[in-house]
Amino acid sequence: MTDRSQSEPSAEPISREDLVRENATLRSELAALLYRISHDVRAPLRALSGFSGMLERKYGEQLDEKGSHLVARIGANAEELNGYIETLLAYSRLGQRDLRRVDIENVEDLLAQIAEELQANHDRKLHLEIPDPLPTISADPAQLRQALSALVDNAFRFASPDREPTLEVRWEDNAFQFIDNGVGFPEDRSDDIFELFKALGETQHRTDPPGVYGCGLAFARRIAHLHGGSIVSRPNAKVGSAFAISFGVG
Amino acid sequence: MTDQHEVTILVAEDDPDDRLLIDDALSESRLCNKIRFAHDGEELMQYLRNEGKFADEIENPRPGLILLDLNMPKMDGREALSEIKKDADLRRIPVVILTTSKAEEDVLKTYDLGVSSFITKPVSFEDFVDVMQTIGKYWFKIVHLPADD
Repeated sequence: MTDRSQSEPSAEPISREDLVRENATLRSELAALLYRISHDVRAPLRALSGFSGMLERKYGEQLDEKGSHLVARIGANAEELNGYIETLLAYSRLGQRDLRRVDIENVEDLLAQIAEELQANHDRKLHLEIPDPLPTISADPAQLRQALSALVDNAFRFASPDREPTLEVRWEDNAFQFIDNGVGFPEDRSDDIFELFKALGETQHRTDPPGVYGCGLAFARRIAHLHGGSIVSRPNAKVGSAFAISFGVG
Repeated sequence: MTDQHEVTILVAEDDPDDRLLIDDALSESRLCNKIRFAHDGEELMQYLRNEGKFADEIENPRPGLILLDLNMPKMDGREALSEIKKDADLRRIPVVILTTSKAEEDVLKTYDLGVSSFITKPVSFEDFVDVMQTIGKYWFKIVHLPADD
């Protein structure tokens, strides 16, 4: 056997700078693509939605019941498609900007505030329990809020009809543990609940902000990853579900 | 105060569908203002300077408000905006960006260039009418616009 290593030119090792440059190129290409999507796709979509709205408003009386129904469906579908596009854009924008880490104290208050705000969209009262003080966390404030909101919202959405909805939040193993007593989810879905547009069941509420479509957990995972942290889920031992989310170290 | 109904709104918009939507939404919102359209940045500048097909000053009066799309052929909204703001004769006309873009970069850049507001075009016609109504109320009932020279 001959030693070929001598005769073949050895490839230059890829330097860290190369990777950083490549990453920056990909990011700016992605940003350009997103810009095009947001402009080129949304324009015809707006025409579709706008004209069906105009048809309804100006010529609605000339349409019979079926005609009105069809026009309304065109509008509703255009808005749904717009919601998907908005979600994709918002999801991708999360990684476009550099993280702004700030020390955030009083995560308890933040959680209480989030729960109070979300309560307005739901009929049943959620009991938020935070037995011990939570630590100061170094994270991007807007993104932290968004991730925690997704987890609190999850407890609202998947409350069990049989029990008073309760969400316990504690700090354990360098992560926030969210433990609810809701309906839980099947174990074989424990990965795809974090994927975009793969939310479980009837999660699309009429009160959802446009474009969210029950993708909160996908956003929470992306935010955790951007912070160098992670999110994992497990069905709660007996009832409900549990999530652990971490935001890396500052 | 001048009769604000006489104020002309100049809309710079390349997409014919959007022009139709804007035109209809403006008339639905019962704004009695005269509405004029320019199809790209070049036409916008020609209109403002009463050049070419916009030479007739009575037919194409100086606008009191410009609604400006950003992505247009020939000269885009950003270039047109920077030209307007550099022109001592035109820079007082309030410019409202009306675009599909939500890009933070566009928001920052156009405010730097001196726009009065940045509005993302709504998707539904109902919201479009609402936005036009609000623009009309704000610019023609609340705000005191600079008088023509």
